[in-house]
Amino acid sequence: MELLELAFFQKALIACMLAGIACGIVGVWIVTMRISFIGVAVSHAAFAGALLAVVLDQPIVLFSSIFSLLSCAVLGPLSDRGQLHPETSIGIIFSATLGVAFLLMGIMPEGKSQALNLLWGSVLTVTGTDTALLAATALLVSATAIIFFKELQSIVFNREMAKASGIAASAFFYLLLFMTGTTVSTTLKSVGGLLVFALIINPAAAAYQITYSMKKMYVISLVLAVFSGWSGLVLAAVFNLPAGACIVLVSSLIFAVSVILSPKRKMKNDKNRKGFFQRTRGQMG
Amino acid sequence: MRSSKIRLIDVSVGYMTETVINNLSLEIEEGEFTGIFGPNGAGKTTLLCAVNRLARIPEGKVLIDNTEFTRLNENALRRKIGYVPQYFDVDPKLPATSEEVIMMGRCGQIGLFHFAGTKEKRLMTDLADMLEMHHLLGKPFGQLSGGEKKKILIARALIQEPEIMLLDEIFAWLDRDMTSRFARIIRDVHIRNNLTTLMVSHDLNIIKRLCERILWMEEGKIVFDGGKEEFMRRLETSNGIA
Repeated sequence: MELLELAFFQKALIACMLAGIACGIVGVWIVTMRISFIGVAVSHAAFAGALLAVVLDQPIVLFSSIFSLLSCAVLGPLSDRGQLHPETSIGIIFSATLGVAFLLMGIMPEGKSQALNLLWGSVLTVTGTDTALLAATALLVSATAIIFFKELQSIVFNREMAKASGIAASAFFYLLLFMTGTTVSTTLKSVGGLLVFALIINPAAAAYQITYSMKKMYVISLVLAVFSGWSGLVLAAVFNLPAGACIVLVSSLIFAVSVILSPKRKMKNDKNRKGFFQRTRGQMG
Repeated sequence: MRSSKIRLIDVSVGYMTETVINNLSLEIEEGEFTGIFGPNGAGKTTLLCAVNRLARIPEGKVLIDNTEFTRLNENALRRKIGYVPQYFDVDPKLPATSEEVIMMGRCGQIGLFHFAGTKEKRLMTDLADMLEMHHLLGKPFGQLSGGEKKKILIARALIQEPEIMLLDEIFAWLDRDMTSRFARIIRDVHIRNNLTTLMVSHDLNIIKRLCERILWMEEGKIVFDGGKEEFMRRLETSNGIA
């Protein structure tokens, strides 16, 4: 309980909550549209941008935003027009940004320690500016999810069908990618390049196992993301472990539990059993 | 004299480097029920996708009620058209109930920054009565059988209150009983809502039963366009249609 009275720990809890809200919502779009690899590519692009900012002594958020949004601007049209298979274009962006990141790590004045800080983040040393940025991102992403709920639900269901019913499906897909890029770049410094991806995918993937309602999925995903952040932080403080690693592991554990307890998994198993019974009865005449 | 509801003028459609439909012109009158028949790869689905501009149209014009629709106003065009695809991939675990899937069809009409209101609720109730599907509304869409999914997708197209219906192989994989029930529903919906309907099917019996006009397509071209009596006569007296 003494921890909660420490100002830096309170700031870290607030940062985790705000990052959890943004990542939890963005994760719902990424997981339901099955474009998880886009999230990986965007977060690596943001990481490369942040490293370049460090090398050039420029603002990290600005450069990571430019890189992640540029990667979205390339990925969106490529996957939309079908000129290349989406996974091919994502793979190219992913490897290119990873190459840039390694190159920059090699020429960074202070070597790997600065790069590792960006990879794992520094949630225990968040500044007021970081918190304000996280709050703005959480607000922007939440407002998008509420205002465009029906349009986003429709394109998540099937983009071609959404288009056929008169929705500007491509524009909403780009909006969704833009929100992903913004979330990744604004949370990178405090939460870290690896952690942000875990916070986007794991809670949403866990929520996906639990509910058939998109509204409930948003709520469960962001609650699980915030819970992962908070419990990871507490574990890190109590056992003197790296905070980022603890948060990633807690969110992974939550996903594993959700898979085991998933009503969807039970239903699938029941169907398999029924199928086997019917097949056996059929063979018996 | 009735005016043409749908007019395609010298429309060409291709995917990558392959041309599927080349310089095709067609007029469909208001209230007509037209069947599109032909072998695989003839361009039947592409023709439907040219009407609602889901296919990219590099050449030619698409006119509905004498208004030309281009890339700039294609969303307005699609709001007039209910489209039921042959097949599309949906994850059985997807978080969406059947009612939500139907309501997605209404998104364009409701418009940005607005939510479904009393009119949408009334439409949903009417559709559920007409298609006898009240029991399906609360179920997850991914868990439904093939026939039930088709019913929901028809309802999704109808909740748009369309002027035109495009139906692509909606009778595929249905058993005889379900096919017969669906045929009755489609006919009733067409008449009751004064729709202009284009339907792709491989089932000659269904085409004969529902359609007033039949188009036979081969290699991206319409090789026969006429009434069903003429179609049947040609089919019986020759080895081919063309």
